[in-house]
Amino acid sequence: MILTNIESVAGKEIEETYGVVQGSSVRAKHAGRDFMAGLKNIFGGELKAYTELLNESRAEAVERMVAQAEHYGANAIVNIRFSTSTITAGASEIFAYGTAVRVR
Amino acid sequence: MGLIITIVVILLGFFYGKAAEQNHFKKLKKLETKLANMPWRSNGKKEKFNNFQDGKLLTGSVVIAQDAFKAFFGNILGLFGGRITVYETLLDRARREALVRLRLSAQDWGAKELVNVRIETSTIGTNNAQQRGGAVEVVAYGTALR
Repeated sequence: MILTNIESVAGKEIEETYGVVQGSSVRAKHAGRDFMAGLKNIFGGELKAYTELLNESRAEAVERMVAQAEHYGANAIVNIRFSTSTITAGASEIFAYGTAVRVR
Repeated sequence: MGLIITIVVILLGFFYGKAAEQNHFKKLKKLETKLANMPWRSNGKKEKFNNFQDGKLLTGSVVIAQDAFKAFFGNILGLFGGRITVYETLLDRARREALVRLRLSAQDWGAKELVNVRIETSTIGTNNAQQRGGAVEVVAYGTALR
């Protein structure tokens, strides 16, 4: 599966368009991570545990999007976009969407 | 007692946070100079790129927390309105770090160019009401071409 956030796939021609595919993932941080984040809020700096958490979450959203595209028989997704939103204080949703296509 | 703890926390934030920020800016500057030959741009969505063989979506992200002193100072500045400089530097750090990570992963992949780069910022809330400042997440993503 080729993923891009532009409207074409480099070096390939789009044969067929299947429509929008999407994937999302809602994750909450667990108490241990939140405690460390509390300490970090004193000193400032990167919250590595959260960076990882959101990366995992993003990877999962993309995986779900890819699964949907595979279901249609697509071999590429173009024009992918991400959006993040906070659901409640402890959880955030990562949403990925794009257009499934078949390229040659 | 509560007041003493608050003051200690703010002082810790002042000394430690300031040093950490300066180190971070130094590190960013070094990496940015190293990445000078990795061009990136925010347009190119509708171009065809027939002269490239391969394209791939890449992301770079970071979550950065504000230190206690700056959060406290930011609250005071917020009373008066206007520029909250202590948060401007936080967002600057986060954006530059996310971009550097994106460009580093593009370089590792062997990209010649990085197009249609998008930068998104979101705030990360905290469960604990006593925690001030909070954190920001910045994700930068784009299509690498080789």
